[in-house]
Amino acid sequence: MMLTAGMFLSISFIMLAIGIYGIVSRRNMVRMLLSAEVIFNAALLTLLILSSIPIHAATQPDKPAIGGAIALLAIGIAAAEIGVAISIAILLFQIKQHVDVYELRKFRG
Amino acid sequence: MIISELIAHLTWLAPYIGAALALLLLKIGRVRDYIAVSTLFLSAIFSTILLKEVLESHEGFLHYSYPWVKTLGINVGIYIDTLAVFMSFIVAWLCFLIGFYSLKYMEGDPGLTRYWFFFNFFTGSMLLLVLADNLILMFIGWEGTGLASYALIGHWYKDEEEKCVGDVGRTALGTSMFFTPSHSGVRALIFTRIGDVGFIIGIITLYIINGTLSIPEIAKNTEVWGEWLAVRGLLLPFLLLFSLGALAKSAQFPFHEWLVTAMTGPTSVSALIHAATMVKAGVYFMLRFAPIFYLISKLDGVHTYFTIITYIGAFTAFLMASQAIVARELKLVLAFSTASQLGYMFLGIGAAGLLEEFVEGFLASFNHLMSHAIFKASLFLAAGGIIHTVESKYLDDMGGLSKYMKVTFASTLIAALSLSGFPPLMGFWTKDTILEVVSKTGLLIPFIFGIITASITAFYSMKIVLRAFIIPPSHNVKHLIKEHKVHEAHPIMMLPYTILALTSLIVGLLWYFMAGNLNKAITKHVLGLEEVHMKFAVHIDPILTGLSVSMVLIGIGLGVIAYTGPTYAKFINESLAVNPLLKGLHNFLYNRWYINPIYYRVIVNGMRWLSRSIFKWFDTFIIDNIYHILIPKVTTLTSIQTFKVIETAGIDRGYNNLTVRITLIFSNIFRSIQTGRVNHYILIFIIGLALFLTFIWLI
Amino acid sequence: MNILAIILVSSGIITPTLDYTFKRRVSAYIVLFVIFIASIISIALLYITYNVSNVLLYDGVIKVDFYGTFLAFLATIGTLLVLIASMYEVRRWSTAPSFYSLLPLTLLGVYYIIFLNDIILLFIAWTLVSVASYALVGIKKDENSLEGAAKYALMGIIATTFLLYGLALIYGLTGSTKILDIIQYAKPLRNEPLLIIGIILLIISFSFKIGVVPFHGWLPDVYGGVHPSIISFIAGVVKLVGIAALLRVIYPFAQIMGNAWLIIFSILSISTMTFGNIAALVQRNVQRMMAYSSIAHAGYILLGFAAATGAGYLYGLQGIALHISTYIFAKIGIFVTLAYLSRIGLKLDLEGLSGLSKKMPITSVSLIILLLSLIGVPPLLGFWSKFPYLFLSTIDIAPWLTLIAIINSGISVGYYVQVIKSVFFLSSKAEGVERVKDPELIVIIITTIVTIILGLGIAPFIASTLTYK
Repeated sequence: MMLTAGMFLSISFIMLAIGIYGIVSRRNMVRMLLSAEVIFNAALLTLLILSSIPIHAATQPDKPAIGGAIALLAIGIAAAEIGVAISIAILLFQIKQHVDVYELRKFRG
Repeated sequence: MIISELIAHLTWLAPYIGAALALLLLKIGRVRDYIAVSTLFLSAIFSTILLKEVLESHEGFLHYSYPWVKTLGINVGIYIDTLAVFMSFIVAWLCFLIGFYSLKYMEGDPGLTRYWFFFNFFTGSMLLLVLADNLILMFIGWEGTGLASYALIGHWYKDEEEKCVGDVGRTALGTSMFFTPSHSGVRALIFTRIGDVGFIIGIITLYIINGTLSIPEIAKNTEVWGEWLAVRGLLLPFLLLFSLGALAKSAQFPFHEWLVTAMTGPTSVSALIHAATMVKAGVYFMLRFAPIFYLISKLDGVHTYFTIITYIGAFTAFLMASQAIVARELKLVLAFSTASQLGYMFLGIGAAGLLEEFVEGFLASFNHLMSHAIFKASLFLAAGGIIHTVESKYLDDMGGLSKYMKVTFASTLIAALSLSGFPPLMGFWTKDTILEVVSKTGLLIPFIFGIITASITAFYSMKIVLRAFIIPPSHNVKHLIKEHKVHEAHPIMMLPYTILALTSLIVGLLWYFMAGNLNKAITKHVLGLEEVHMKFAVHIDPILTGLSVSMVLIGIGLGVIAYTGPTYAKFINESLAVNPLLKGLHNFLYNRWYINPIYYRVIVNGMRWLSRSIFKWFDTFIIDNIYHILIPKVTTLTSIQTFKVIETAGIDRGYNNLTVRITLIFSNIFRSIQTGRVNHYILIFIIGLALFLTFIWLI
Repeated sequence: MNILAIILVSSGIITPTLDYTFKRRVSAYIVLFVIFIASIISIALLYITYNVSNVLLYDGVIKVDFYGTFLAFLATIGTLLVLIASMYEVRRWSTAPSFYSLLPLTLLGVYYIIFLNDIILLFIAWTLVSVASYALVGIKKDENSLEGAAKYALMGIIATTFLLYGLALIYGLTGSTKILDIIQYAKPLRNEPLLIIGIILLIISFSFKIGVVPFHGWLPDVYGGVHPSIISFIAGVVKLVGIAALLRVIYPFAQIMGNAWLIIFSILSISTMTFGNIAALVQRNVQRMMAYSSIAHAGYILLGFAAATGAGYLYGLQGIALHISTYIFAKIGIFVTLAYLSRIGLKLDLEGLSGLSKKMPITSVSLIILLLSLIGVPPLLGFWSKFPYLFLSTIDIAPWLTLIAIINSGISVGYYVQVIKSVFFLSSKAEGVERVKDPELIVIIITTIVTIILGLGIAPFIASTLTYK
């Protein structure tokens, strides 16, 4: 069957939904970060799709192939971000011996 | 260009900065004083630079303006035409010289920080007033000088007896004629305040008609607003109201009383505010606006306005001079003299408005302003030195000081002769031109007042000089001589008034030659003044000059006779004590024509009586009967009922409890959103996102 | 600009290594010096860009204009103040060198966001600032900080991913990465739903940073729990990032979105203001209360954005800039005060602060003045930024918005006043001595004086110079 752009976009929406569900419902911080990665990849997918097809061809000529470059940059940067988050998780583990997000409830109300 | 703007603005800002510094440095006495005086010096220098700039500039004026409050059109701006620059030059230098004098005169006074703060604040406000380019800024300066004068007049607020004006316990018409410094400060403020009300009304009117508060623009628009007012018959009332401030500030009748009791302040303050600068603010106001009014003089009411000003000026001159004849305190004579000479200035500018050649009267008035500032300041400063030496404010306690205070004697003599109008000193020339202008108007009564007052002026000037220096020493002085306390004033004090007296002398000597150029420079560009067709050279009308000189000589002669000739002196004293007519006249003049008591009885007591009787009537009749008897009965009945319903149910439960509870409920709801769990937060995030998207989808 | 970038980057990188070699006593001073130079350069930039119109650098990726340099100047001054305030206490933390190296790095990211013209740069700089701030929050490595850092990081990552998603959509639909070109291409696409989704995702991501409801979850916990010295930076400078991003990226879309713009921003604004003000009323802990007040102030700033389609848009822009400056000075001052007080040993709730004015008059007076500025009392800076500019900007297109804003401002008095009351009027249970040498005190005094002076009449001058395109 034809792999239309619309299909890929729907895949990325589904991934988004999965990721969101994961973040909201997990206790463990590392699992939440995993789900965040899922969302992130969904975003990348959208980016790559949209940059490779000309939408509304009348208004733009050929797009320069920036899409891929952006994607590479984004992977690197997001990795850095997740890295920092992981290091925060590690420190948390050192202090509390667990990474249960539900227990981080010191500040309420 | 920026530097000259800065200098221009600094001319009025520097003294304010000095005032703030004086407050900050209050611990370090001498430094604070020197810094205060040096900011005055700075502003004097800057004003000199401005003078040079304006004279050299092509158009003859400078205008720097920054928008401040745009919606009302108020700018922080200065408009420096030749009138303003000359005025600020005089003001700044006089303030500096008097400040310099105060360094020594006020030494040891416990309230020096206050003194310097208000002294500088005053100078800054005065310069701001002179240089302002819009009415609000001018008004701010105006009020600033009023405030500072209140504070400075009441400087010795503890009200020691020797600091007051008047004789202890003396009354006239039932009101006390003995004024303490604190009371005098209040009087000064109130009298000038009444005038300020008129000023404000004038400003608002001009703003409503013109839509702008900028003085140059209002001047350009004169025809329009003049027409607008004249058509409604409002031009004369407007002009009078607007000038009310000027009349009050320059102590013209009927606002003259405050200047007399203002002598409770330190002498340097009297020199500064009441001789040299603040009272001149009113004259400056007239000089600034009269040319503008003259432009529409063909309209109804303007002619009447100028006539009224002329009469007021002439009458004030005569009124105050007559009171100076019998005054017993040295500073009081000088105070009366100031108001009298201010009357001359108003006379001059009023007469100018009635003539074809407006410029003549304008120049006469301004020249007299200059010369009066110089010699009056000199007289006041010298008086400070004399009073300090003799340790008394009364003329009775002076005498024979010419041997001991030679320089002061010479300077006072020169200044007093200038005041009398003795040729060829500066005062002669300027007073003469005013009289000439008045004679040209053809109004007889002001002219007669002017001439007679010249004579009286000469008389009391001689009175000061003779009684302080020439006649044999009084008991007080003899006593002090024995204790070796009578000596010349300190050089720091002596220098300013000597400089001023010499200026009066030298400028007077050179007047014939330099006046032409001076006058041309002054009128090079003044708002409202049109092209002048007259020659500026000094010319002397022989008849008039002869008349005035002879009046002066008569006055001097009478003075000398009255105070030095032994038999005549005794004759006068005896007849004063015995003859009821003379005694009555003396009392009349001594009690200042009973004007002050009349004010107090009619206005002050009248208001008190009015408010008391209203209170009594209103209170006893209406309030007691209705309010205390009838209404309580009715309200107690109804209130018990309504209280039950409204208070408990409505307000207590509704307003107090309900709103608070609702707000608290919301608060707690909101608070409970923050559960502390990240997942919840993120959930809310996503929900928000989803809501948004659906929302947008619907639109 | 080049010089700025190089200096900040190099100092940011070199500092931690230097510190561990030299036993970490120098790091603070190096960074202080660097930031000082940065502030001088930013002042110079102010002069340079005053008369010149937009300058494009680096092939159109960076656009320097006066509004931006004003914001950059504010950010630099904010950083400088935070640095000075940290001199006493933070320097003695074990992780101090990292703190000091993170500051210039974050500032670099802030600059890039303020001046950006390209969405790639946006993503990079955004992540830089975010990551640096996660690290900053957790720098102290104790339980409170880490909890705050974890929450912040988790939510921040989500925001970043949404940002990327939005950027992807926008780039995909318009075909260019430069913002000016995007606007060009987007005009014919007015009602394309994907485009609007993309824009909304961007708005949401930026609003997360600012603390707009309903994306604010992390804010009260982070602001309220972590050490106040750190928070003074986050509350001041990092919030500036979000607003600047909104300005640069979203604001140009105002014409395209038409009516939807006003609706979106007014909903966000109202909910934020109301939530912030009402939730703050029941707080006992002063630091947490200030967190909610930050939320409320973000709401006020959104008002300025909402005005973009109306006649008052210029007022809105000027109001945003002015309000950022009020907010930065006030919040930095307040949080530094709180840091100071907690260092001395006071508990930071309403009872702990009671009667402070007797023992530490300067601090309490400054605190009160800053709070009054936030309320909007004339003649302080807060009055100028709130009332003539922000609130009035929407009065022609949405007067109900102005009304709600004014009501909210009134509600906010309710909780600020509680602080003022406890500091000033209650009897003193607080014990504390202030010494002139304390650097926090100097910073507090500086911020107070600036608030007063700018508020005395200079504010309209500043506003009139801030025109945008």
